[in-house]
Amino acid sequence: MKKEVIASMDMSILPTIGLLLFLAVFIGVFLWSFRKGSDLTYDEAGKAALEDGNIVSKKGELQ
Amino acid sequence: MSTDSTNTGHLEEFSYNDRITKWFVGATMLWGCVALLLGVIIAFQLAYWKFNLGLEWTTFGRLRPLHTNAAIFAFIGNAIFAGIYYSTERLCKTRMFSDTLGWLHFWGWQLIIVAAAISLPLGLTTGKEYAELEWPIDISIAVIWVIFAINFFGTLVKRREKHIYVALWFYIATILTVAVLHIVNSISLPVSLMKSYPIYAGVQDALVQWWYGHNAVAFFLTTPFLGLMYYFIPKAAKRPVYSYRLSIIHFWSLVFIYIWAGPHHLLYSSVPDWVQTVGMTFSIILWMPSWGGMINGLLTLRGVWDKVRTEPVLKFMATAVTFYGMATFEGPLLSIKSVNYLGHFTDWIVGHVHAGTIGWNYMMTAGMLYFLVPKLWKTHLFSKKLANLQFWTATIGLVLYMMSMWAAGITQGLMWRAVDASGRLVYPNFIETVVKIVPMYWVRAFGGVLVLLGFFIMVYNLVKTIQFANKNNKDQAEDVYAAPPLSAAKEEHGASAHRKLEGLPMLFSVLTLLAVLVGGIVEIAPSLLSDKFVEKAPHIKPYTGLELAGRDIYIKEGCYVCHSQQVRPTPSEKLRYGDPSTAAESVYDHPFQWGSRRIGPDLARVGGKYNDMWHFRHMINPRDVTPKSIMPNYGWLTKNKTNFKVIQKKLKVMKALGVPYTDEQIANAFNDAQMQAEKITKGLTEHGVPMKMQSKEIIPLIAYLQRLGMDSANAKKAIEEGQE
Ligand code: HEC
Repeated sequence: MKKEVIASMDMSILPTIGLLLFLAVFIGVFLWSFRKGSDLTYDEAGKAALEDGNIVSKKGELQ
Repeated sequence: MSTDSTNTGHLEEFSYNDRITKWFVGATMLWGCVALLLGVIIAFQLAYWKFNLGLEWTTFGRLRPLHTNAAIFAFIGNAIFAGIYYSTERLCKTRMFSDTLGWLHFWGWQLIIVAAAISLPLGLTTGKEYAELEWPIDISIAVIWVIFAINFFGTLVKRREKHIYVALWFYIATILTVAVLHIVNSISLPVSLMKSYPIYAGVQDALVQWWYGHNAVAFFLTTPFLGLMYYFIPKAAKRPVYSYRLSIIHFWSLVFIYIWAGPHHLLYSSVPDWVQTVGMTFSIILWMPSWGGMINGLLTLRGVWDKVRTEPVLKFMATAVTFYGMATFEGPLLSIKSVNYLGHFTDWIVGHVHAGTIGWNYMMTAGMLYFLVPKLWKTHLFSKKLANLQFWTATIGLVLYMMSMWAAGITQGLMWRAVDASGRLVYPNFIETVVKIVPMYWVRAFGGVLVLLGFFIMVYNLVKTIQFANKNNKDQAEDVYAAPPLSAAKEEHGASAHRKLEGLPMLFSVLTLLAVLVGGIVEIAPSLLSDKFVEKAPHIKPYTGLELAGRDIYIKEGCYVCHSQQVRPTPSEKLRYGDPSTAAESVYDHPFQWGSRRIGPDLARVGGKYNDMWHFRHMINPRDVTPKSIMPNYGWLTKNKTNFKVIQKKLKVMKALGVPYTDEQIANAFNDAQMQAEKITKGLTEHGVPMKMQSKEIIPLIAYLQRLGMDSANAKKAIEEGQE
C-alpha cells in the first residue's frame, strides 16, 4: 500500500517543494535576524567571544 | 582535578582543560605527517607504477583509501577536536563537562585511527568511499562520537555565558549531522568479523553513499572549520566578527542547503533525473552561503591587513578563507550538468578536492596551530621565518597541484569525448588518454612534496616552540579564571524569542537536525521506500558464488578507486563502452561499485570483451597486454588462496538482504563455486597455466570481470536473434 502510494507520486514536484522550503527558511531567517533589538544583541555576542573570562591567577608565562 | 568552585560574591573560579587540547594538537601534527606522506606516495604511484612496490599492502588501491581516511579523520579530525575543545570551553567560560570523557575521546579516536591504518592495507574494507572501515571499527566510531557529543553538550549545559556564540552552532551542526550520516551509511550485515555487506544496493546505495560522502565534506571538512574560523579569526585579529547577523544567515542557509547537494556526484548516472536536478540546483545555490561566510571571514580582517602580512596566524587563515572561496566557487560550477560531464571521473575533481583540503583545511589548521601552541604552552613561536617558509612552500605546492590536475582533468575529459566527423572516437584506446596526462602526475607529485615539506617545517617549528617552553617553564599548573554563573545573568526584559532560543541548546539542536534531515529525507527516502526507482528487469540475475567471491576481491584490492562501473548516456560513452548503465543492472550490488574516478576505463561492460587468458596476463602484469599501462601488478592473486568455505555464508547474508538466491543455490554454494573455478582454470591450462591455479584468487576475480554487463548483453543478443 505504502509502496503503491509512493510509486504513484509524481516525484518531479519534489525539487520545487525543496526550493520553496529553502526560500521560506531563508526569508524567515533573514527577517528574523533584523528583528528589533538584534543590533545590540549581536554586538554583545560578537564581543563576548573575544574574552576568556577574568584571569585570577596566572601560572608562569614566557616571553 | 576540576577547580570549579563558588567564590564569594557573584564570581565562580574555574580553569580550562588545556591538556587534552595539547594532546589533540600533538596528534594533529603526527597524523598530518602520515596523511600527507601517504598522499605523496600514491601520487608517485600514479606517475610511475613501480612505486606500488609489487606488494599487496602497498598498492594504490589499498593506500588511496588509507590516505583519504588519514587525511580526513586522523589529521583534520584531530585538528577539529583540538580547536573545538579549546574554543568551546572559552566560549562557555567553563571547564569541559568531563575530563574522563575527554580522555576517552582522545584515546578512543587514536585507537580507531590505528585500527584503520592496519585494516586498510590488509584489504579489509567495505568498498564505500570515505566509509571504507569495517563494521567493528564503525561501531567504535559511533561510540566515541557519542562520548564526544556528551562531553560537548554537557559543556554547553554548564556554560556561564548566556549567548551561544555562532561558532558553537557550527559545532552543534557538525556533531549531530556526522552522527546521522555515519550511522545511516554504515548499516550493514556482517559476514565475518571483518567483512560485511551494506543493506542498500545499487541506486539506493549510491544515493545513501553520496549523501554521506558529500556531507562528510560538508559537515566534517566545512562546518567545523567555519566554526573555527568564526572563533580563531576574531581572536587572532583581536576584533569581533565583521557581521554577526551575516553569520546567522550564513549558518542556517548553509546547513539547510548543503545536505541536498549529494546527488551532484551522480549526474548522468542511473539515479532518477529529478534527484540529479535537485542535487544540481542546490549545489548552485550553495555558492551563496559559502561566499557569505568567506566574505564575513575576510572582512573581519579589515583594518588589520598589515598584520596579515606579518603574523603567521592571520596569514594562514586569510589564505585558507580565500581558498575556501575558490573551492566553493568551483564546486557549484562542477555541479552544472554539462560541466560535470567534462569534469566527472577526471583529475579535475581531484584538484578541486585538494583546493578544499589543502587550501582550506590544511591552511586553516596551520593558522590555528600557530595560534594555539604558543598560547597553550605559554610562550612565543620559535621562528616566524620558518612559518613564512612553510607558507610559501605549501602555497606553491598547492598551486602546482591544482594547475596540474586542471590540465590533466580537462585534457583527459576532452579526449574521452572527442568524436570525429565520421562519428568515431578520436582516441578509441583508453591508454592514449592516460599516457597523455602522466607528465601532469609528476608535476602533481612534486607539488605534493612541497606541501608535505611545508608541514614538516611547521612541525619542527612547533616542536621547537614546545621544547623551549617545557625547558624554561616548569610551572605547568592551569590558570584560574573567574566569571559569574549563568544564573546571575539578568533576564533582560523584552528579550526576543531568539534570545531564548539561543539560550536553549537542545531546542536549537533539534531545529538544526530538522534542517539537515529534510533534504536527506526528500532525496533518499523515496528510493528506499519505493520499487519504482529500480525498474524490474528479469534478465538481471544475482552473481554466482564464485563471482561474488571475485567481487569481494575487486573490493578488497580497491579496483573501484581506479575503475568506474557506470556508463553515462551520451554518444561518446556509448561508442567507448556500450549501452548506458541502467538502475536494474546494479540491483544486487551490495555495495554499488559505480566508482568516482576513471584512472582506468569503465568496467560495467567489460565481460566478454577479452578472453580469460587476457585477464590472467593483464592482472599479473598489465603492461604485458597494454604497453604503458599504469595499473599495478597483481601477482599475489596467483598465490593467495580463495576462501571457498565462506562463500555459502556470503550467499546467505546476501539472501537476507533481499538477493533472490534459492535454498538450493545456497546449499550447493561450495560445490558450484569449485566447479565454476575448475571450468575457468581448464580453459587457462590450454595456454600453459597450471591446474593448481584453480584454488587461487585470480580465478574468482576473472569470473567476476567476465560477468560484468553480460546479463544485459545476453538479453540483447537473444532479442536480436529472435528478430532474424
Ligand atoms: C592505479 C589505478 C588502477 C587500479 C588500482 C586498477 N586498475 Fe585496472 N586499469 C587501470 C588502467 C590505467 C587501465 C588501462 C590500461 C590497461 O589496460 O592496463 C586498466 C585496465 C583494466 C582492465 C581492462 C579494461 C578494458 O576495457 O580494457 C581491467 C579488466 C582492469 N583494469 C581490471 C582491474 C582490476 C580487477 C583491478 C583491481 C584488482 C584494477 N583493474 C585495478 C588502472 C587501474
